[in-house]
Amino acid sequence: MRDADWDQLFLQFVRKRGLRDVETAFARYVRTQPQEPEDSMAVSQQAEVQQSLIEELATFAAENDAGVYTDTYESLATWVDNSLDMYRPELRKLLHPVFVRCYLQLVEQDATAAAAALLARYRSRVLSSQGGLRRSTAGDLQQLAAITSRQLLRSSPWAAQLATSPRTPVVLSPYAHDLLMRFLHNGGGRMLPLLAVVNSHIDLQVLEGLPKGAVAAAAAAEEEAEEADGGWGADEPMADSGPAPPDAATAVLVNRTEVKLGLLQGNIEDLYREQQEKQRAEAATTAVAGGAAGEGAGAAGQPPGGAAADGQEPPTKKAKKAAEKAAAAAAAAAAAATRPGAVRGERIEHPPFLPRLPDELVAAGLRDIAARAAVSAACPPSCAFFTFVNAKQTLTCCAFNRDGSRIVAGFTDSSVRLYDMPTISAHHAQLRRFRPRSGVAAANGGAATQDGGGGGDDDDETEPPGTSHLCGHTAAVHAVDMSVDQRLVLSGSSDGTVRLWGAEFGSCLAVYPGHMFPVWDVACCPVGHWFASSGADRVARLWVSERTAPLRLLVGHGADVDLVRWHPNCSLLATGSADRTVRLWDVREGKCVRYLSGGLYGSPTAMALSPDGLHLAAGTDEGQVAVWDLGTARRLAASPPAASHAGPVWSLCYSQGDGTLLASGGADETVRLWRNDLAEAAAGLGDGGAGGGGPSSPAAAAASKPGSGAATGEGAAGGKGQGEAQGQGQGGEGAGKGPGGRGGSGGPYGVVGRYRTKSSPVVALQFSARNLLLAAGPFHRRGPITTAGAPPAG
Amino acid sequence: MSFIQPAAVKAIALSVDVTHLTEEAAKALAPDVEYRLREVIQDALKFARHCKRTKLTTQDINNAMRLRNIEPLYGFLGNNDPAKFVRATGHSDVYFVRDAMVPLEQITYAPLPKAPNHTTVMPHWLFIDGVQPQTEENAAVERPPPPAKRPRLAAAAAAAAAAAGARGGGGAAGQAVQPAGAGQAQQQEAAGGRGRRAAAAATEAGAAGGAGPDAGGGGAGSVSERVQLPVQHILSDEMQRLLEQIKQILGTAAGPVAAAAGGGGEGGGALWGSMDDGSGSSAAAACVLVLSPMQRAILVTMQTDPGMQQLLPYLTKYVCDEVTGGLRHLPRLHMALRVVQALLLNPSVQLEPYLHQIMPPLLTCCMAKALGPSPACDHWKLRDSAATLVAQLCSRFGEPFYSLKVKVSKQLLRALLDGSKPLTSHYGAVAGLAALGHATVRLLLLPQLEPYLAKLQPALAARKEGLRQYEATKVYGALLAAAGAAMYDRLVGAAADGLLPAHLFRAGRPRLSVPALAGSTSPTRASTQQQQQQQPVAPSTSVPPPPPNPELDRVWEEVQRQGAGALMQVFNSILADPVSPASLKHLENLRARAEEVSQPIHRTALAMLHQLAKRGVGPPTKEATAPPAAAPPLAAAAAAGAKTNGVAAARGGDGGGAKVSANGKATAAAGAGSAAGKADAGSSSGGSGGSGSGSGSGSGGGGGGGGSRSARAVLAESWREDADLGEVVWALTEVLGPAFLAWLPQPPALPAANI
Repeated sequence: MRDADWDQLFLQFVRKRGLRDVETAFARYVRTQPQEPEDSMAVSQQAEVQQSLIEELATFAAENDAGVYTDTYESLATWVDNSLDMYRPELRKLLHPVFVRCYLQLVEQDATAAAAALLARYRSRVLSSQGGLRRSTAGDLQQLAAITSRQLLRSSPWAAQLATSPRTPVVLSPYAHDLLMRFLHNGGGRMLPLLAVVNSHIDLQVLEGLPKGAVAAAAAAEEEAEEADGGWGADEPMADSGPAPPDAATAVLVNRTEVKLGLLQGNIEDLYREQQEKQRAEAATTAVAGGAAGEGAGAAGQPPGGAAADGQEPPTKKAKKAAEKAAAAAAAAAAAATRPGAVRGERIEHPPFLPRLPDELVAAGLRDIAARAAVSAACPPSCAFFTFVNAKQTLTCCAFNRDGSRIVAGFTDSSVRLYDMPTISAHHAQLRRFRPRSGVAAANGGAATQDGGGGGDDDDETEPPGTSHLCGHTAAVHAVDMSVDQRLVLSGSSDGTVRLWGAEFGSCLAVYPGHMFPVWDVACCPVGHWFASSGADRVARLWVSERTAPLRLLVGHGADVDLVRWHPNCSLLATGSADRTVRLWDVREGKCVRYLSGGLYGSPTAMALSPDGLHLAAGTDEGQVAVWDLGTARRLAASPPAASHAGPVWSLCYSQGDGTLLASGGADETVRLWRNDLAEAAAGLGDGGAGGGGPSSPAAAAASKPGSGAATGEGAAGGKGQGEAQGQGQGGEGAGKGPGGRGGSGGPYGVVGRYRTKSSPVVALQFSARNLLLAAGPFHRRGPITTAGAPPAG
Repeated sequence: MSFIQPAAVKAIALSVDVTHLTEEAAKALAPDVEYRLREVIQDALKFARHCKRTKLTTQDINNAMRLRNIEPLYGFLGNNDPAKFVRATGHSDVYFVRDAMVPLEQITYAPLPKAPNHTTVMPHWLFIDGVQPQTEENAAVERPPPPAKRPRLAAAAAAAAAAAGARGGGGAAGQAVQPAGAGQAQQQEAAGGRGRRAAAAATEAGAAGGAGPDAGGGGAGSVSERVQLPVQHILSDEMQRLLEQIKQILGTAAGPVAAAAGGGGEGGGALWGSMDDGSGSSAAAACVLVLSPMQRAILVTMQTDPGMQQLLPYLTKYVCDEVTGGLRHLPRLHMALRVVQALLLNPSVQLEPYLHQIMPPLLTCCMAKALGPSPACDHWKLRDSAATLVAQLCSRFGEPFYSLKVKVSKQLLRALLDGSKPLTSHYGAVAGLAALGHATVRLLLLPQLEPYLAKLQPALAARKEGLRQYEATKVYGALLAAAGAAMYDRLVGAAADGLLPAHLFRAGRPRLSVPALAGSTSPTRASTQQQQQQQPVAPSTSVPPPPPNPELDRVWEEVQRQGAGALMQVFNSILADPVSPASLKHLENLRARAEEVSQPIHRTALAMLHQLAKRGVGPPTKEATAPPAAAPPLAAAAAAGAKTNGVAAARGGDGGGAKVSANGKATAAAGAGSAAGKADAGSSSGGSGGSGSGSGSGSGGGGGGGGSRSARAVLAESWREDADLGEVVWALTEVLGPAFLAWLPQPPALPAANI
């Protein structure tokens, strides 16, 4: 083929695309092209070399390109979604600018239908993968939706501005860039338009270093900035950029879904509070009655001692009347005073599908609450640490029953073991008594037993008492949990099954084979026979223990679902995934209602929901602990790098009751306590309402004050926090109404304490029903890991 | 860009028998291989994370491959050795792991690995009310920078912590919150007055079967007993200053003196100068004892200041360091001893916890092989004072630590009996044993005396090794002193109790002491006379150092002051050549004069003899030959004494008492310890003495039986309360030679005691 033919072909192509500037420029070039002497050899060579390119060009020119753009864009999106987890966030940044250009190309080609389809698909994809549109994205989409024809495109100032604007910068790490280039080049001719778009409109900036480093930080900073200057697009639906499309305002935003975060009606805490109120009212009544009786007696001129002391003496009519009146007033005052404090936050009806708690559990719960220690930042809890010795890096997970007397642990040798602590402690004590030396070794926190190899206290072959093995899994067990009545044990394993064990029988009761890939986490419902599991198949499942098929599949995460936790009201389920997002799902409908991702460094490895159901805390594999307000889907706090764990955070939990403390434990062998000021402030608000809000006489309020302080366990702190609670705590109270108190990032969750263990990563943490912090971890004989030793984000 | 090189792809292809792989294919495959690898690693990391590990293992890789439906790699599980990569030949950047060929038999016949220990759970308190207890189960808390810097602040912080602990329920923090058992926790918290918390903890513990998190009642309780809390010693600024001062002043102690003395010595090479050289030894001794006013003040402070208790660990360490570092510097050692002495005398200092640290340096000072800059220097004094100090410590702390004295004496005795130890050590051991008390000497030293002296004899008798002989003499002197003192004590005690008839000495000594006096029988008399004839010819004129006698010293000084030229000349000539016949004659003369009590020259002669003896020169003794030779006749004499038993008993009475004074004069005259002289002197009264001896040994009981026993057997029994004192004295005299007698209570003293 000759050059002239080439030129002709190219000119044709250019003319067809309507690129007049190029055409004229090229025409000039064609004219000035010197005619080379014909050389058959050269021609044939050239022809051979260029053959494929010509073909591509030909197909490109020949086709009506509408389909190509949509297809290639789709393939790009799919490819990004399936790329390595590590590089996916970077590559995802590419999708939006490419989409915008592709859409404009389609409009340019008058393929309106295809463009609309692309737009719709893109929108749905963004919604599912990102939980909503950011303001900039929403704005872009809005503009794009307005451009439906070439004329509109030409006339649109936005498009013109876009055309003249510099190329969109996208930061990639070297390997991600490599991957992208390989994908675009290996795709053959079909990928050419996409390649052209990327080359012409996107400025790929390749930065050295791991993606989690500077790039992630930059991305997070960017996100934060974006969040700071307006956050999610639809919070204030684009008042400045014309009328918002109706769908953008309603269906678009996952996080604007109405969600009921209140606790269940008739939960144990409320029951207890009611009981207390009743008792207090009675006490107040009797007290006031007694007082009035004494008063009356005194007024009647009788010796006050006698009447007040035993009341045997029939009071006079007047005194009786006075006493009755006073008692009634006191009761009313007490009721009025305590009610607002009692129902802190809303309560939702007990859903019919959920079982009620058995009476004995309620009774036990009430007892526990009565005996519960009040913990707060000012009054930190105690922590019992359970060291697993000789675990040899096989301990994967651990769970406690409500008082810590039983421990369930999962191991990589596919066994689940149940430890009965009283028996074990008695055994150890016995060993110590008979063999004082090995007792010393045993008391060394396992150090000696670990060192000594065979010299430990278990060198006899018999299994120490108090341990029962639950065997049935065929691969490593990754999660265990105990049911609310402590009689059932759930475990999830790499073999893709969830098993239910009877703790009393020591045998497997049921197998739930639903997951295709390893099950990473299981969680029992706080009220009954429901449970949830999540796994490497990117799906979280909701089960009821009497069926072997899942009830709901919670689909949407872009990577493994590592964590699943129940909301205290049991109608919501939180999941954390390696795609660095945390989502909240409605159990009934199985759809995502909250999407939390802002500024999470690394993927979540631990998660906890506050007992009042308003906050969600997540710890990442880079040691960060972040807390969101579920109502507003805003991040309340994130630990600064200085205060963060040095390794992955393995466990998180809130204290019982008000959740005034958050405990975190990680691979850096520390347990840290964080104060939850908002909960305290909210508690203070409750008390404040009790104290000042009630239209009661000051005397009655004063009478009820100490009681209420004891009931909520807050005391002086609550009273003090009252003032600011009015202002700040209101947000937390408002369940997503107001912007909430965002007083300085990291402020609300300050560090209270940091406690190092002895070479034991903290695998599990749990506040017992009486607010004793239970922690467990295996003893590893090595130094604490450093940040450099932490694995890169998976 | 990619980590996987095309060459590696080719190599892999070869390994799976794809021989022909074009370069382009390899290039195209390399990135894909890398991508797959990354995928596998990514999944493996997920597994590691969900196993709560921060380390990737081969098992994770296998799991990840299984997840992707790839056959896992076999043979890497449980293989803890890191893979060794080998560079492929011919390729610059291709590496592989060399697989060793493992014979199947080796695997099948290999012994089964040891069963792993059971995984079990150990509970403990990580923190209590937010305060981490310092138990051994918890990691050590990194301390803030040295608290000594700001003692006030530290104290305040401690107080605050204690207060916080008290607030935190039951003073949990203040009591350093051991992982208390449930009961303890209950009590503590109940005491803390936080009703709710207490109830919570208590009921919690109850709910956990009294054992759950609370480490199982009894078990944890027993743990708590063992837990030793780290002691934090805060030393105030002032105390630190004081310590520095003490160290500095005591350290530079002998500085100026040493510098002065060092000029003549080894050129002042060492800081402590040279206190060596036989000539300079007295000077050295002098400067050792000299204390500057500051040092005196310091020592007085250490003796009186109650605050020394705080410094005790540091002072103890100072003493140890001084002794270990200053073995060649006598002043330092002396100073160390003084420090210990001062501390010991301080009534408010509790030395007990540091005894184990103080004892070794003291024993070193006592028994070290070589102390001081040279063997010739006067380290004897140091040993003596160290021995005294050890004895003081033993007596002071013998009550709480009953084994202390036993241990120390055992160690001393072992050193004494160890023939491989130098004589200096033996001297220290003897001194130490002597200092430990007469009972110890009787119990431990006397039974060993005879064999030991037998061993010592060659050294004593040696002619050439001047130093060794000198040392041996020293040891001998120490033994003599020890044995004498022990017996003196015993005898005086017995006399005071009236248990011992006073005439025993008058009677017993002549019989037992010198063979010449046992000469009521003619043959032995002849033989001993013969020996005495030989005596002047005996080469050895060296005598053990006499006991210090201040009176004689004073006389001698007078003599020197008066400048009795002839006397000094004689003295010097004797000193110059003690073995020459002239000197011997002079000595004889002196002795004779000394024995004549009536003459005025008597005291002078005595003093001169004493001074000579101090320098190791004396009238010729026969200890080298006498004891073995004298043994058989003595036995005979004893037998003879026993025969006359009855007669003597009849006429014991007043006669014995009357004779005492005469005999006493004789022994007093022999005070310089010259055996031969005494023999002569005693010979006059020998007759009556000999007759009286019968009653002595008879009243001692045992009579013939006691006499027939060997000295060794007698000495072995000598520690007994009912041991025959007369026999023991005899045996000791036998073993140690007549010089021993000088150590016994002299008869004039006894009647006084008796009265």
